[in-house]
Amino acid sequence: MSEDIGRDETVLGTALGRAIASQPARATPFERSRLALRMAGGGRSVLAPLLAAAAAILLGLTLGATLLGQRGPDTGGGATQPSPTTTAPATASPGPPSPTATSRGPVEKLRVYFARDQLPPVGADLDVELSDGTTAEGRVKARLRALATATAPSGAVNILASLRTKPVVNDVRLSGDLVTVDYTVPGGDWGAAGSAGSLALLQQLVYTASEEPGIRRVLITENGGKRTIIDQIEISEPLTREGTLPYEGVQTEERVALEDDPRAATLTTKLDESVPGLTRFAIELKADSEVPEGFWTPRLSAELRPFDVVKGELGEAKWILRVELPGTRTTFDGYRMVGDGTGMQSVERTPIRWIRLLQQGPAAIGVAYELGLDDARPWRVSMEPVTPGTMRLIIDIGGHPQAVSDSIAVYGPKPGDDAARTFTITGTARAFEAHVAWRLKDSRDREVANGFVVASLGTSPVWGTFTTEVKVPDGVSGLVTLEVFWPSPRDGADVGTVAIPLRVR
Amino acid sequence: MTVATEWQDLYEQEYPRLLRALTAMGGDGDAAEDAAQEAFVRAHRHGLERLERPGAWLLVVGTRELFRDRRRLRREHERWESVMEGSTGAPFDAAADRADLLAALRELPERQRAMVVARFYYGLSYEEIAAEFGVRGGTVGATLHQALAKLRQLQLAGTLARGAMR
Repeated sequence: MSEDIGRDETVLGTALGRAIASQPARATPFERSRLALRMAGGGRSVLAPLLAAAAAILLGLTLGATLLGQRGPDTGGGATQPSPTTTAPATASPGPPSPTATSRGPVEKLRVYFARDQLPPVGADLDVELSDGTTAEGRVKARLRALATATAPSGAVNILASLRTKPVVNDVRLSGDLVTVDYTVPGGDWGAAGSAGSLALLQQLVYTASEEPGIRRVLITENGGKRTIIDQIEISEPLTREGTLPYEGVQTEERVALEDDPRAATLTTKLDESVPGLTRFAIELKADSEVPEGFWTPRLSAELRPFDVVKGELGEAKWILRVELPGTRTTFDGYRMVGDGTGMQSVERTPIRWIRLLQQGPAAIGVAYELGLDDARPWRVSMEPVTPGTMRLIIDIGGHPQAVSDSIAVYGPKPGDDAARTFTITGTARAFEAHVAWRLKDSRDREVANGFVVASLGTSPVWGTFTTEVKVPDGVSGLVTLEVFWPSPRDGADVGTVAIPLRVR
Repeated sequence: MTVATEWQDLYEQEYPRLLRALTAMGGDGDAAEDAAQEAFVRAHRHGLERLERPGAWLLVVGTRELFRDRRRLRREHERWESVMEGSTGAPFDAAADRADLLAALRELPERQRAMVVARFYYGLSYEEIAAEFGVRGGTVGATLHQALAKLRQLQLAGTLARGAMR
């Protein structure tokens, strides 16, 4: 490679280098750096190795057989669990009243969480008696007690209720954003076995205990404050909801913005949950004026922030995803007006609790949607053209953990699916020049087919959607793996690979 | 050496240089600090063993962080403009020359800014720049050539303007 710039240019460049070096630099000491904070325990998941193991164990097995297969023969209730493919809305029933509950208290609708096969837990509301009072501690205790006997909604299981040892909540203490829950566990044995079932139980406990507004971390102890071990998982520190999620290695984006075309447009939205584990909020933007090129990239920003409101017009949520679309307008159809230019829509399906619509008029600063969320699972914003002048902005929250990476999310086929001999891959990608590649491998890891597809958008913080067809070659059947990735422009290496196991008949 | 010490050493060695580079590119110390801090957090997520040239990697990621929010960038630009207005008429000296150069740098497209800094402040070779920025070798030479030609024009314009106002 030749150093093909001239001497004068080199002199100028060197002078610039010296100018940069002469600037004062504020020295933030290492101890006060974000890096030090992260290294001191701000890391995401303490369960990382187990999460991966659990995902591997669960693969291809049915929900009931895997998660509940560890139960002792004396367990009751929920013997036949429905298919895991339904995601929402969840309804659950409170199960028989606990024989130990003697005191009477007011009844409130409280949310508890149930486990799902390979997916994050799902919430459902129960009518719960507050026999320990209406304080925050009392409500946490009531939720956990109700969970111990509740019947899971369709598509989910209640691991806690299935344990033969029947652990009982002994004590609940709140301190700041931390709740410490002590369980009486006979003989120190929870009775859960296998990393998949143990993790699912932990998800249920952490999500349910942290449902109380203001609580973000949960420490579970046993038999009077002792460190607890649930099968292979030793709980030595407080866990957040995100710390129990199976999206290992996938970073949750904080902010995405495009500063492109601020043209006036009219919006319509749709909430879709047809893919298991994925919540999709789609916004169609129809340009008010003619778009000569047909397609345009709107100005937008989307940001995820922690959110805690104890009571108020906004319901409960732990996080808020705010999407701003300057210059646009919409109607408040389907929203309950709660103030000037502000509407609310209750959703209450994990992970979306509600949607708030804010519209600033008449000068039309634009429209903002705020989605109240249960956790900070990975999310992504994609864009695709619909018709000339109309663009669709897609906010996808979650997705099947095994089919999601930092830059590729495959929504179909799902891991473990039976695939036809010709099947369609659908998904979204944040790839260099929108170039998305796939390959199919047989059970002996040999590549038997490959191809590529151009996504609707590339080389952008906003993802581009793609759909392509795969024809399985003659002679290939049984277990196969579909890999979807994008090639690095630097060396052609695979980037963002997701590997989806399938069965071809 | 423990992993924690390795990270501390890397931080202490690379942080001041990264902060100066990002300040030069964006013009705002706060935004530069934010981006530099974030770059180290991302490096930690990525893993030290996967960083072939940690300094260059941090520069590329820090630059991306800095330019991620273009609104922030615009604010910085406005702030810089106001600083420059205030300094109009200052005596011609080496400091003014440096200010001209830094102001000119911020007029370049983002990619050109980052490559100029990588070459002339970090002292990276063309091969290293090509590898870190994920471009072909020839692109580095062409980009630097364009960037320096533009820098020369901008710097001359700044010097002339200041001369005319004295």
